Amino acid sequence: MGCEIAADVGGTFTDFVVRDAAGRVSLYKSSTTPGRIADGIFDGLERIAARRDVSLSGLLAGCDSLAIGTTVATNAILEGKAAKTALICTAGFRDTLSIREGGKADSYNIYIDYPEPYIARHLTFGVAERINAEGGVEAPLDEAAVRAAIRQMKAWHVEAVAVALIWSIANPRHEQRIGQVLDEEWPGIPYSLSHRVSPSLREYRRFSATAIDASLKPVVHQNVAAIEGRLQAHGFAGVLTFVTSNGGRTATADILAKPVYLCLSGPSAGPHAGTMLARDEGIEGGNIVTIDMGGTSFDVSITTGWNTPMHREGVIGGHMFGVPSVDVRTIGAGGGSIARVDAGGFIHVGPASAGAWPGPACYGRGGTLPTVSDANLVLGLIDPAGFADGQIELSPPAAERAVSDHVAKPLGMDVRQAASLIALTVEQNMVAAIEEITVRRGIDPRQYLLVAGGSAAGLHAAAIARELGMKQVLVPAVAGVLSAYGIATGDVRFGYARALFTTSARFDARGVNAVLAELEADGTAYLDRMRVPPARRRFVVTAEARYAGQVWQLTLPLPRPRVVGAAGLAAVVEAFHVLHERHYAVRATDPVEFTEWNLLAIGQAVPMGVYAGDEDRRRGAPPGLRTRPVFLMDAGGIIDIAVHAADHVPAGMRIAGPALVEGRLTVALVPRDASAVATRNGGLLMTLV
Amino acid sequence: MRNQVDAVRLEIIRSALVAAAEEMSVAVFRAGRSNAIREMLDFSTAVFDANGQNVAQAARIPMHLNTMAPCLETILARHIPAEAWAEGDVVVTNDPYCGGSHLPDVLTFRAVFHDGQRIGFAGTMCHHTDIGGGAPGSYNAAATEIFAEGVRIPPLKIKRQGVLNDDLLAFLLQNVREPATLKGDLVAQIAALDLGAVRMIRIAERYGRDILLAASRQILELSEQAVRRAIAAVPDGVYAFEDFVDSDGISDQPVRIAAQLTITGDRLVVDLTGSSPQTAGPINCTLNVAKCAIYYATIAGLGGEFHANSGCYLPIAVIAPEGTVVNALSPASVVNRINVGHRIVNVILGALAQARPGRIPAAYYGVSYLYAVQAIDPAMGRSVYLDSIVGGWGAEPTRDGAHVFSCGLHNLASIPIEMIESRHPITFTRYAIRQDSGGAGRFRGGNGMVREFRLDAADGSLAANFDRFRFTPFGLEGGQPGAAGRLVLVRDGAERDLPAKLVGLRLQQGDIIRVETSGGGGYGPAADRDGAAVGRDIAAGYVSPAAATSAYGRSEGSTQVHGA
Repeated sequence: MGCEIAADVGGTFTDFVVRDAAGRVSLYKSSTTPGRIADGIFDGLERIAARRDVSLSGLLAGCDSLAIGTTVATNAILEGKAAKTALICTAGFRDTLSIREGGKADSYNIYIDYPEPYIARHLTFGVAERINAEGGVEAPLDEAAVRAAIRQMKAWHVEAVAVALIWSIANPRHEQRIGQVLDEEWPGIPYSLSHRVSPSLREYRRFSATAIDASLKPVVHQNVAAIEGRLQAHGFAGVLTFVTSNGGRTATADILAKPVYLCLSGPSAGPHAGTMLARDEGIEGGNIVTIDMGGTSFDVSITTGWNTPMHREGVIGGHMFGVPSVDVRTIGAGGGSIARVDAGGFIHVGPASAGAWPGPACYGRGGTLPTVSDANLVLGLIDPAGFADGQIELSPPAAERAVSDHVAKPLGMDVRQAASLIALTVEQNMVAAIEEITVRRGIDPRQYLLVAGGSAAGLHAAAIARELGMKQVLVPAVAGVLSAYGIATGDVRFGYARALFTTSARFDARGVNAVLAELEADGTAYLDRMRVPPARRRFVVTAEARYAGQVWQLTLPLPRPRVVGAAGLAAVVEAFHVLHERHYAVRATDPVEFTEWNLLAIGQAVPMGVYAGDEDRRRGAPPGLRTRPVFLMDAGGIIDIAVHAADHVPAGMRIAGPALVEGRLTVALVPRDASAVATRNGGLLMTLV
Repeated sequence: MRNQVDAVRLEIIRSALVAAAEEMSVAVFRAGRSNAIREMLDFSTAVFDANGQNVAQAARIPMHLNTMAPCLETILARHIPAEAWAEGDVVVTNDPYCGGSHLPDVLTFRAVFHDGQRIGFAGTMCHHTDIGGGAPGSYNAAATEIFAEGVRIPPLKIKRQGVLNDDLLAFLLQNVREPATLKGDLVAQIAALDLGAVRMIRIAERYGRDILLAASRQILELSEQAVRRAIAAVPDGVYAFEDFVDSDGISDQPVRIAAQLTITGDRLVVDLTGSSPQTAGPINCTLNVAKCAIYYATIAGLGGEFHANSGCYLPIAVIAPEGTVVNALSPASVVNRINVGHRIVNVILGALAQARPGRIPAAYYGVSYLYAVQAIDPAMGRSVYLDSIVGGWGAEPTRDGAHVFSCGLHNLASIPIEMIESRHPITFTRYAIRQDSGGAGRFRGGNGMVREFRLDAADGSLAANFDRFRFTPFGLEGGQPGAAGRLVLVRDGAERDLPAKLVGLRLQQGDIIRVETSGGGGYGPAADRDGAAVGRDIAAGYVSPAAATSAYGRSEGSTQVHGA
């Protein structure tokens, strides 16, 4: 057995988790090379090889698997770098991607930032055809119009084609026919059909998912081919997988067929990591809030009873991508988030970010605006020499100047108080993001464990937890590379869906069971292909269900893989009542409608060994007890607090707050009125009083 | 000067109160039944202090939100005093003459107690698909008195100490066209109040009741001060503007809306004297409704960063003579009050464009294109398809207006046509941006939309409450107005223009209805428009070559046009 490598390619850093043949786990962080992701990954791999005293080929030839999380799809959408894509849609509905679903978040703003449609209007071709809600053909497909559109697309050098027709989910015949015409007229052009990409109701979401999917095909093909080519050149004979929006990994073939599933790849692995790490620490119940604080964004997810919910309302750059994704909420709050004071004397932190360049003022690269990292530096919480594995030397005077000029002076307060206020404000934003996915869904966070990912998240985690009434915080040893760890330990998983409408009043048991059987066959074929042994296979079967008259569904896990007899139906209906009551405090007597049936095929990962700290550091001499002056608002000023070296804290050791615990890639603050214990896996479990 | 700890705690409590409102909003949205709530998001939720002042709102619809506070005030002052609310009581009303807006908008309030002391109120307001009266969807364009508009609910307790008043509910359901839908939505909006209450109690427990009450007061003061500062930043002066509603739908007379804004230091007086007398047709606003349009327009037009709540209203004094369309007296019909409401917003923004030159967009489409189709089919029974659609946004001083974009006043989402077709015997034939409807200018107004559908049921009827068919959305600084709206019936291949306001028009199977909404006004002279921008508009099909020739003297697109 060789080594296994997981890589999470982020905007600023690429994080790696490596498990070698002996089961030892190591973590690495390297700067991301802008541009092609293959370069970033291979730069990092070379660095790893060098640190392990092997050649790159030596490292890769002995590697069983490489799992990658990448923001390539997310960034292509955000930066408009996806392929030049045309859309073929039902005549009369050309503007679906422009009009979207209306409404706006900030109703008092009369200046309107309205993103252009994902596909330009002149590249959107309406063709005569129409399927109705029952799946009947209202108007036949005008094939001549399709062929004319294709000729025009060729003349305009279109690189990919999305095909999305009204009610194709009720009857895909016309979309399928357009696919055939494309094959005939333009062999090799990448295209996507909406009923395959996202078989769901509501045209905008389906059209948008399809447009995004088609537009990603060329860029994803290129990047995957580049990675595969270089891997082969170095003798890699292992399995290459990518993390998808559902948080699991899947084969390159699936990613190439449906690249839209690469949306949120990377952050989507965070929830699994948080859950896994909590489980490894012996936490019971599986009620976990996982946070991951990066440079510009803060990702948060919730896991209840070891189950992390999925949804389909994910948005990137104002465009819905429509496919099931782990429900990770992202807000603009991170180390680089900029603080400002408005005309009303209120402080705001984020969503604007100093980004990787020029970065926070303390990076000394010309940034002058105060960020969260600057505030933490001013407070004395960050070691200016040891930031991000010592890769960037920080400047405390620059941080102080920024905080002073832009926050302290306008509010008439001391610079350290201002820095505290910045931290408190960003923490409040993070609290609000967590509340959005907990209290706003009727979930009480006080019953949950907070798992803090991100290099500096440990500085804010206790404060966030206290604000939410949470009692325990886990800062895992792998906090600095949380998503990469999630990738390394993640399951193989892919979802399959069928649309079939029925109601509990006239339940189509035969149709439903036929659909469920088809889904199971799809899932089995997939897991066969992924070579998952039977003992590690699992299917999660769900229905999208609602009360008659409701239009938004809840995802209902089915108690059994088939719905058999009156008792089987009654069990499903009762499960829906319970689910609805739990979410919305009310249950009804109306019939239950089912619109869609889903199966998630899972190949459970082989558990990974534990990361027990940095071996190089551990071998070195303990640095002895250090202290550092830190400004703590609740202590009323600057006090000297203990600074522990994470790699030298023995398991079971208790640390009383206030104290800092510094690792190679992480730092955590144990506040006053809190204590922490070093866990068996090298993490820190804080308990708030 | 506030000290630091206060600023932080205040922000935390303020966010928590907003979160309470948001939590109710999600609950209504998810559990509601009608397309109006679930897809158009035509509902709002808010949290009030112990005196009934609005302290936090969910980011929804200002037209509702700014009504809720005056409504609760009216209920407390004239109908059910605060002392008469017991724990678990829920009060319901929809009566415009008891503080409500119009009959389809049903408001529910619940007092929130902590240790036996009232700490505030939670409120929800939902637009219900049908509340009875003389037209399906309750938009009776022919109503000349409120008695023809549906069932009126004075402020009554629909729950007493947690127990639902089944008799009242049964009475309501007997009077509406879609009782199951109304029941589902009403139950959802009442259940949501409990979630808001739990959240408010938690804030009181966490920070202490006295701190919560003090914070509520301070939040209102800060918002008031912020609005005062924004007003003070505008030069003192008197700024007047007027515009017209086509008619009330009963007579042919234009209806004038006049506004005079007087700014003196940090105070703003909005005087609507000179606006037309109240009309027979149902476009009238009660004073509360006129105020909410005024508050919306001034807060939006001042462009500051405000936390919307009752404190924002204090620096704004309103003069609106009784018996006019902006302060109608009982029993004036009011169901289409948003027609005048939009025009109030148009004229206030028009006046503010003089006070803040270069900061205010040209007029937006200026009307909720609200229509209802009742379909009666032997197979599917009776159904009411209610929809409200929008037009183009006005050109901004530095860029083109957005196509098909909802004004924040009603902030409507658009119902997916697959959702409509799955529930009603209706088939859409077009849903698109309407070419050439944005006003020409240096910056072009946004285009309106076209929504065209066919009735598949054996029998049906149409009600429409439109406007801007005669008086088009104005341009600014020499920009051209946006195009007028249109309503067209296509029967047996022949097109017939219909009036903007109608009710009970019989439809037959196969009839096609086409709604064309108004575009936004242009900004600056058309002659100043950048040639490349004209070319792009032609290429995209937003502007036809013919219209480009007449407006800009140019007809070439920069990319070939296809499939417009």
